[in-house]
Amino acid sequence: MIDSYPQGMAIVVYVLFGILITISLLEVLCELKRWPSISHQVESWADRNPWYAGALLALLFIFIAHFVLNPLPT
Amino acid sequence: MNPLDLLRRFGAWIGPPIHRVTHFALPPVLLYSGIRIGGDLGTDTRVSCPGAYLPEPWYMVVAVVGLIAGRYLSHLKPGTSYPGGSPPLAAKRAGQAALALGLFLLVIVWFYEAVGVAHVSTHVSATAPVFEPITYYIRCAIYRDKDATTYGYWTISMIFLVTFIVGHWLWADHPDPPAPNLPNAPAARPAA
Repeated sequence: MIDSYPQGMAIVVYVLFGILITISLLEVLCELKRWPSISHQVESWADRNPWYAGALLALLFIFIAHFVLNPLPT
Repeated sequence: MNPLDLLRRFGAWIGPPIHRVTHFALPPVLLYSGIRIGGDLGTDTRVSCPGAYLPEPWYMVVAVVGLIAGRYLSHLKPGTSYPGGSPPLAAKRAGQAALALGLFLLVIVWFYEAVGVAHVSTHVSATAPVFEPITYYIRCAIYRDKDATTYGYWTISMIFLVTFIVGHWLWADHPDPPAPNLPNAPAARPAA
């Protein structure tokens, strides 16, 4: 069976950076158009929905803990 | 002068240009970093996941520090960064497009995760690649990073960046609007 780790890791990195690059390009668009930034809109949403925002934060930290507090199975 | 006022005055002066420069600098920096890291990981023919470098509890400390730093980044913005009223329709559409794109990508990610967790390909052919869960790819990338840099600087940077952004977006501490005599302070509303 062929090891898919190199390709899999590369794809994960490309997807993650693709999301970040898309958001950063939208932020540039907002800056050029002098619109409220994506950050501003998300902050406003989080202010209005603190429980949803808290749940998303908890979910993120559960994911990070899942990634870094467990070894790869041998 | 009150030190807190001084700090706010400095933040109101330095914050907007830093904010603007960061917005314009991020896309090329992210593009270069993504291509560089993805290319290195995808083409390296050494052992895929060397050593055994996890669990690493202090990475959680980095995550908490990033979250708190993101929360208080708001203090670099002057009060005019939080105008009242509704943003223009086109701005809302841009935000909705970003959200839809993000959710679409998550659908693809979770579809793949289902395939990876099920190890579907192992039942198909002995020569087909074994699809692993995304979690394993991430842990393997951390192993490679720690194997190359001892502490895992790329891992630390990514954990800090993600929690910093999320802390800034979802848990921002909005400072009071600056006093009227500060730069960029909103003009006083005329009396009715």
